[in-house]
Amino acid sequence: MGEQQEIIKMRNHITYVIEQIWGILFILLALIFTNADVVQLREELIQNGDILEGLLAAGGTFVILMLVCLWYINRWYRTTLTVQDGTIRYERKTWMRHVNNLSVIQISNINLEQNLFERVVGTCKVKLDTNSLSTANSTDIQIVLKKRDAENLKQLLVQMIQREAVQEQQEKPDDDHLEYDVTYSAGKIICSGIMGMPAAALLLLIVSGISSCIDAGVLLHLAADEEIYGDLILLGLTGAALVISAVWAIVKCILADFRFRARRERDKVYVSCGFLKKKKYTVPVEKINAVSLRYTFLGRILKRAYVTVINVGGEGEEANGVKLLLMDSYPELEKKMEVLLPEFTLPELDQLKKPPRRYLGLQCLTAALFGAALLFGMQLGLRIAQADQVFPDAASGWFCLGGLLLTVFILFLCFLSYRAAGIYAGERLYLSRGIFSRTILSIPYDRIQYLSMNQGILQRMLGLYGGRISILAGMMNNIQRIGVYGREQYDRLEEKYRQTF
Amino acid sequence: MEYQKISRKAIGCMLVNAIFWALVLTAMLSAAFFFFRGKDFPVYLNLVYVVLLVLLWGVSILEPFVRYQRYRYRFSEEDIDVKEGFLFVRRDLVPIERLHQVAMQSGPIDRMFGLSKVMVTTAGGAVTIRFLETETAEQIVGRLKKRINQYAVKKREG
Repeated sequence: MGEQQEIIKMRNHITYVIEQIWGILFILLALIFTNADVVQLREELIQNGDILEGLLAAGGTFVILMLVCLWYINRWYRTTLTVQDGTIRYERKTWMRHVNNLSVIQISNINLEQNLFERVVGTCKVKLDTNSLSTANSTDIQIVLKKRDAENLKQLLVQMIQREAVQEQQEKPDDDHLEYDVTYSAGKIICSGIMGMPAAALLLLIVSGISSCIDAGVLLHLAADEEIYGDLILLGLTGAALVISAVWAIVKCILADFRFRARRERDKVYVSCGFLKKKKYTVPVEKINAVSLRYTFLGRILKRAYVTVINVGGEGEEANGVKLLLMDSYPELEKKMEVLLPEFTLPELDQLKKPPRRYLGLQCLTAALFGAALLFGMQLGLRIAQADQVFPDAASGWFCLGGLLLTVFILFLCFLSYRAAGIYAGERLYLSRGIFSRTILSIPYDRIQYLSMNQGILQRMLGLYGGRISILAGMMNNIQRIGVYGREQYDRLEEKYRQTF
Repeated sequence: MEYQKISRKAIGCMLVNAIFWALVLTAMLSAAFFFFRGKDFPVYLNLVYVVLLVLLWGVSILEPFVRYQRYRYRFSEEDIDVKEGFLFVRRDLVPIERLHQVAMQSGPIDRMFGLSKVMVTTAGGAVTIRFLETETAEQIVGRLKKRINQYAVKKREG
């Protein structure tokens, strides 16, 4: 891959076909060799000397198998990626002809990814994310190449974007031998994985553990016959499955962050991580539209957070932002941010202004009204059911208690949401929100595409405003809710926003 | 620049729209009501049905007048500012330099009243200014296109 003027044409590595169809192959082969009737019929026919008929007995499946293979091979052969004069042409000349012309300037991210299969066969997936939001899904491109070719393509595209000298880039052929600004010890990665566990998984782990213990105790206490052992084993297996799934969630986090490294080079941030799925991100700083400081439930208790950046592109796990720093204390994160991304300072937590107390009152009132409506609805439903003798009369009290507990729980969530909320329209816009976890966003005003404010009837009576801002990001992040605050906060935000245009 | 009101024709347009939806909802509500009505049907549910219908038609007739009174828009050299709403009032502020696309649209009911809407699209989403007289909408689109081009030239020149 040399001069920019040279036409470079490539197609997916042939192993891409296997990667695409191995699941189908596996199912079809399993069908052929495990379907007892087919196996028996085939054996009988072959034993009777009808070899051709015997083969035909499994022929239907073979035909499907061949068609699937041919379809994917045809698709592989007819899919090409051409790089020429600053333009990328992704072409698929199958029945549904698809041509995607893309200028390199539109590329926001060039990511290299390797799953386990690709690591074994020595290939690598190159993912090109584009700036376009409305057409993001149709313009993003991915191709599987040999690892060396993938790295060369990435370098070429980076050069084309930066218009930099070829020489300088060629001196760095392998990312693995580069010096990284931020690295983490194995202990820190494990801690980060544990603290990164979502509140729901933690709750599941605790509840399943406690309920399994209680149930086992009750069972042992109540009966001593042999039937109980079957129940106990079932209980143990259920508990173990829940615990294993929660532990696996942590292990997955740890494996995803394995050898997490990040470095800053000129106007780009490079991130590399992963064990089973190795990932390498290149994030141009100018394409970063917001930085978010994320506290998980455990992180809030232990005062640890991680940092993600919000930019255009990103799919799957990255749709919610690309991880830039792992779980750490605020001062440590601040230090690392100064190295990696000095353009985006982390928000000063004590600067955040809380929503007015009347907002909490309004939320509680709404929750109470909801609870009352729920109880009324439940009573109405219960009366109809009792008339049909579906429920006994005694159930009424339990339903009331359930509705009441649900209302109390919603009120508790309102309080948690109020506690996590905050805003500061200073040098940048800082927004905080959450319930069990907490996310604090730092958004430069010039990245806000538009500002929208709204007021309901009750909010108007209390002088409160709600609102949202739109930023250039993926589907999950392009609308950011501001929250409900007094007029002064929104006036300040509008004033600061107006200064940028 | 002061906020401007939309054309009075908007009331008619909104009214036709509201009556259409009120008819659809009345049909659905009535169908449900008569489907579930039986011998043991509680009397108070008849009252609920009547109250719902009165509310639906009351809101449908009132809404266009309130929305018309609240609808304001302002195009300055730098931004577009739109306020609108009935029960929930919303205000959108869009800087012109962040616009990517300007489009004009009109549906069949809009065309009956000679109205159009202008859709301004930024990289993060779109905002719509409704119930503009077609001539006004064309002027606005022309002005916006000119401003967008000016910004593009300025940006290119650095």
